[in-house]
Amino acid sequence: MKPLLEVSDLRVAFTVRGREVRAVNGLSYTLAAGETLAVLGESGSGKSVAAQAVMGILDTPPARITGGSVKLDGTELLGLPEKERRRVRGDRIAMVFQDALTALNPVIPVGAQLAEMYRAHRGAGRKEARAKAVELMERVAIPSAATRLGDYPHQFSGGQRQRIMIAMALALEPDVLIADEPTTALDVTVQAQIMRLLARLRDELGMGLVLITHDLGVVAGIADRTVVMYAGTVAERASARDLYARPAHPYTVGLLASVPRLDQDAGRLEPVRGTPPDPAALPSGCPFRPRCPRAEAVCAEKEPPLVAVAPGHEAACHFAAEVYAGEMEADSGR
Amino acid sequence: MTDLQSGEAGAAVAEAGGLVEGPAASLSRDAWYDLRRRPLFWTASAVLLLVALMAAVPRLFTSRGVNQNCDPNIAKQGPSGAHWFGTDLAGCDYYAHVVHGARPTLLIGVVVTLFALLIALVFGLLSGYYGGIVDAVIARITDVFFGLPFVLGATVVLVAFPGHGIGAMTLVLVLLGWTTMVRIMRGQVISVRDADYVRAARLLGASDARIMARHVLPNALAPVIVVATLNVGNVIAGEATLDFLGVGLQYPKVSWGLQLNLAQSYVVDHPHLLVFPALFLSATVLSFLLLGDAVRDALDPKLR
Amino acid sequence: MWRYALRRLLQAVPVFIGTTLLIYLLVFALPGDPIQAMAGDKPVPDTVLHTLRERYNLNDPLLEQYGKYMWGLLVHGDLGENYDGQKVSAMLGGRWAVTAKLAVTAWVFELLLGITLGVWAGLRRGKLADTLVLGGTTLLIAVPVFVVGYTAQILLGVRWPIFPSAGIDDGWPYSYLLPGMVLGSFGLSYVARLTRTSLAENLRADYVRTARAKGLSRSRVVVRHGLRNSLIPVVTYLGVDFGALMGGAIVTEGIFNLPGVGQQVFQSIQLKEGPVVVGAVTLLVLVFILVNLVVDLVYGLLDPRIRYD
Repeated sequence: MKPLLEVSDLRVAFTVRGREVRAVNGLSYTLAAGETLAVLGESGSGKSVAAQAVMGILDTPPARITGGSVKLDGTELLGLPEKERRRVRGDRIAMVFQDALTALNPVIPVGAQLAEMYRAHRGAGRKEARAKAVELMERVAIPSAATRLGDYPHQFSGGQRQRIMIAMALALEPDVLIADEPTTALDVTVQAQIMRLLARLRDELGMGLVLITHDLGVVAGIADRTVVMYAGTVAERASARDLYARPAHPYTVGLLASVPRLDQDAGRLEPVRGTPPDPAALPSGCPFRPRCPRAEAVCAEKEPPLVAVAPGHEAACHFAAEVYAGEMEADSGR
Repeated sequence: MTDLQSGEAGAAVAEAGGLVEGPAASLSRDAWYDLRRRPLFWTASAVLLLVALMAAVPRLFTSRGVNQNCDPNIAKQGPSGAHWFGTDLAGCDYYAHVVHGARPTLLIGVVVTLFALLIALVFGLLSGYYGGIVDAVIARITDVFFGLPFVLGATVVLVAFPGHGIGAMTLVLVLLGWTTMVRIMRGQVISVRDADYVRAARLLGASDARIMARHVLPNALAPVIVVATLNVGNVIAGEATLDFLGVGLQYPKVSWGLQLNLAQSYVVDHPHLLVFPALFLSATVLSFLLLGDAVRDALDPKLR
Repeated sequence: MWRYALRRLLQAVPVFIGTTLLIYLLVFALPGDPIQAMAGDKPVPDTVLHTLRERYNLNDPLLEQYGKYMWGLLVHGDLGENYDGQKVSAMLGGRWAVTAKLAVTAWVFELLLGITLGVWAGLRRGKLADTLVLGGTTLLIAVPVFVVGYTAQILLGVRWPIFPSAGIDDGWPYSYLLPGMVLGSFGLSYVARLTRTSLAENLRADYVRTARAKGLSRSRVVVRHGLRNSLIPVVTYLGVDFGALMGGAIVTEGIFNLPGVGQQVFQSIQLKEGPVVVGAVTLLVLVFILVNLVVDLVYGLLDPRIRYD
């Protein structure tokens, strides 16, 4: 199947006080229509920066895209003139942000913020755009939408605000929706509602969904495939089912061990040791080495390439095959 | 629930349980680190040090006293080797005049600000901490004084007391200039009043006075200090304006504003009479502004 | 909203009374006999003194004087008469227009140039334009207004006579341009810096990132999502500053020899013409308080997040 969105070897660097900080070091993934890809990683793993690079909304400077390619339907987006890029943004690729309270403009009524999509992209008139905005709000189940067009973001509940955020992103029925931690700022019960809403809209519109999160629990039910990011690079890539069942990277093993699971014995939950590396001072060789229970001499010398442990399942670890074979389970099952 | 950050959270809890002063201390250390690398901070400090020296020990800069060795025959001369800044209307050395002008100017600026700061701390603390009727009354009193036009208000008072000196000037400038800092202090107090560490102290049974002195005041102080620094500059400019209008300090006292007042009819033909006092006055005011700005930027973690 | 407006109005009443009473006390309770001052050094016969004092209510207790004065002002719009028999309203009449024209000129100057410079610098934070605007405005704030005034007058009025150097013979706006710029220079600097900081801060806000993700044009992102929010504090300052410009015009009026209210009040203070001083300053305070009230209400319209409680 021809991929809808194809990101290959994406690299982003920041210049901070004259020093170059590499935030994304060669991220690749593909996404088909109707599919959900989960990008997993801790804060600072470069997952949000990569998403903003795909959207083309990074602040340049200080950020700089130093390499790679982002193709939508075969068209290269990087290097596209800003005017054409802008036409893609919001129309064909849209984005939902983490905290809708700060991501929505506090002094503009939500109706106007929704209608703006039609007015700016479609040249719709005031009345038409307004009618569309009501439709959108109804679509994401905001009660009495028509009367709430004139309300401001702070007058809605957290869950409603995130629904409005989603409605805004979906206004022009984009091909790809990137959701960056869409539920992190919300209560657990509301989280589930929002995820269901996203899944429903994905199916209705047949769009590709990129779900960025640090929370493995959130994506378990909805993701088809997953990419685990660590220090700006891909640590592991697999179908969601494979990743959960047989992780092939020690980092993924650690992540899974820190999540309570219903399908297995409730053992002791183990957080991943240590803290994420400073992207300005990455360790030599494998970036996960300082935190890795399996690290050996070779890990300091060579950066591990992505190797396939099974069809469609890759991990960037010198011992991927061993980890995949279940050695880690024995290790951490002490 | 996933909790990738559980390790970090644990560490944070351990830290918070230790030293409450921890973040504040590191903030001021960061601020100092930031300040040290700002050339403007050093320039402003150097200028202020120079002016402070002039005010404290004018003998270091000139051997002449105030209005000493004047020669009416050489009045209004431009700068020369003998008189670096030229001479004034009475033929006195203008440089010596400028040096001696530093003291009243700086003294009034600093003393007025200290008094205003004191009022601001007391009123701001009471108003912000207790709220309610105390707040309302203080707010209205502040509004009343805030509404007085500065120059006209000061003129009314000063004209009623002919022959007034530095003391009366200070009083008038405090009377008309205390309001801004009270409002800022009040806002600061409100912002820390409901902080967790203040609630914790209250739960532990600390008295209001103790909470205000130990917890609210230190944490609300920084922005007020910044405004106070800026305020010194404003007071100096205000004092000079009153001198300039002829209702402030009177001859034979010396101050930069007064020099400008005496010079005003002659500035077209003798620009040096305007330039030198104006230069020192502006450099001093500017230095206080820059100093305040630099400290504020250094204290504001958002900008870093 | 209406309750808030009403409450602010009620709050303004004690402030108005407090400020005007304070002025009244300052003018009439401080030492110096106005009747005697009018006569200069000549001795005044006791009977004349007594008659005049009676006529101007000077023998009543101060609070009663104040009450009679305010009654006359608020009920009849009467500012009373000066000790030489002239109506205060007549003495101030034409002068209000001069001061108002000056203040409006300065205000428009602040608004247009201040916001323009601020936006220019805010969009280029850290670049040369930003440094220039910051440096220039800091300098303008630091240099006292009378120094700015004389320098501008000498350079732009005398040496290179681009503008009239003094007086109002050329009418509005020409005669008022240079004084307006001088009077507005402080506020201009303030507005520019406020706009710059506010805009630069807002452009980093999450909702501006959202606006860009929506695929809006840069101008729409900057103006509708960045500037709109950034101007809230600027508008507040501009509003409050209008009152300050009216009251602070005195120095500029003096330098450029504009026959405004400030000049008149300044003379009257020296001559102990209490009724003139109180009349003019009371009206200034009234303008100041009203403008503040309007600003508070406008603020509510601009920022929907404000809570009216």
